Amino acid sequence: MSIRLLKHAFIENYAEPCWFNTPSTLKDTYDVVIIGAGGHGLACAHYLAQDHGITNVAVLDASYLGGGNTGRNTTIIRSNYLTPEGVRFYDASIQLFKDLSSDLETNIFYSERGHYTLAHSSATLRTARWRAEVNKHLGIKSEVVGTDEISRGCPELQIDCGGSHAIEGALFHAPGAVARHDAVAWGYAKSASARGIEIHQHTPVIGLEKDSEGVSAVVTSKGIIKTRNVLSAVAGHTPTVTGMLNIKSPIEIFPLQACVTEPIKPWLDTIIVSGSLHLYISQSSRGELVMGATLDPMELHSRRSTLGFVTSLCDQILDLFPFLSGVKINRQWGGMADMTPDFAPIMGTSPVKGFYIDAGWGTWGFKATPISGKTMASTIVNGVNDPLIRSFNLSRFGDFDLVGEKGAAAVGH
Amino acid sequence: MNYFDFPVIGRRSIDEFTIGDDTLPEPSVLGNVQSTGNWVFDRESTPRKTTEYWFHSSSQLWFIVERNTETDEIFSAETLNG
Repeated sequence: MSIRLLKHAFIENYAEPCWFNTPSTLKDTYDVVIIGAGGHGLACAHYLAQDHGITNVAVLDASYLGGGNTGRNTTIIRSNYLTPEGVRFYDASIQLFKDLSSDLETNIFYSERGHYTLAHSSATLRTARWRAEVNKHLGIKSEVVGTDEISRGCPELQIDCGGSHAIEGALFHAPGAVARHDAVAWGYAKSASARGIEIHQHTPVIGLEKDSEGVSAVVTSKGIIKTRNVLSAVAGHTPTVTGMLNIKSPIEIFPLQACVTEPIKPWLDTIIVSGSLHLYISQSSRGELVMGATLDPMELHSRRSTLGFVTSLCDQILDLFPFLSGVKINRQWGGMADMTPDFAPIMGTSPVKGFYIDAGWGTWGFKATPISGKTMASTIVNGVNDPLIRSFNLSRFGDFDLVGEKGAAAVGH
Repeated sequence: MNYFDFPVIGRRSIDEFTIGDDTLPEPSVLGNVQSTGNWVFDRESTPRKTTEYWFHSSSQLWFIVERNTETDEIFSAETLNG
């Protein structure tokens, strides 16, 4: 019998320590209101408290904590982007991820695996070379490798890839890693909560108000909150929330799907991605193969998942790993991906003073979680964009000053 | 798989189409760089009923399709230019 059960039996009103608070009522006013209790919103709450001592903060979520794209991504962390802006930003994220377990006193199961982006044609290999050179220039471990090295890294991989699209090489990124996405969200929630920040789940925002000085109030299902600082970190719901202040953006919502197989003996200790076949695959610490593909081809505001996704993905996976034909798919799901025209995020200040945007994560944005929280916290405190995210501002579209981050998604979209 | 009855080409899977953007009216005056950029990039991507350009590659025909972006229900499809 466990001590825990005995405590429940013999201590009257025994309360277990909770990961995070669940207050029942909202205060009338907060210094900062964060919309969206996903990884990004909770990370911002944590860094507001840790870096800046701001704890009069409410994090609101229409549903439950970490139930959006935080719980739907495929947990890959890497920094081998294409533009210097992207590489610097994601490298800073990796540095935070590495120490996150001890910072949050929560094991996030951070596991460096190495990350292969396969090239099936000389054109893809050329892009891989370009990315490797940008990465190396900025001090990131990234190199183009040949088929012999790929085979050494992943002996199970069929280099001829079913005969029709043989692998010619790959971009190899040694720091590529995976982590437990739920643990990241819960760890940030625990840390923010311990410092006095309130987390209100099942509290949908139904309106935003502004006056001559900027954003003034957040209207929720549980009452109106007066505040001068609001962060929108709602991924697929961004156009709905920005629409409450008549802020227009180029974000378009497309479905992105993923799935896992039944748990099998560990055999895949690296991360394999193929842009040409539109797939990526890694093995979780529970033994499940975590797999995903490219975006569905049409705008959709729904988290539905389809049979067509699984059948076409498995068809491609079997070209790379034919021996998986007997393995069953256990679960599949969809998420709403907030896409931007240049595949770089939209972060920072907005046309309404005090209203900040953290969006445009495209393919779920898990790997940006720590650095987006940290830079958004500093942006909110100072009222000006953090230097690391200056080129990601919403105003770049009106100015025709796009970032051109085609390396954002490892698979082609 | 999602099928719909299209004019001219008949009943088709939606997988056969390349889906373009909303059928936004072109502004008569574009004005300065800022408003041009906003017209080129800004979208209204909320759950709604909208009309989109759809291209059917095997027949080389363009269609205007009316669709609900939350339920994926297709209401109507017309060939572009009648």
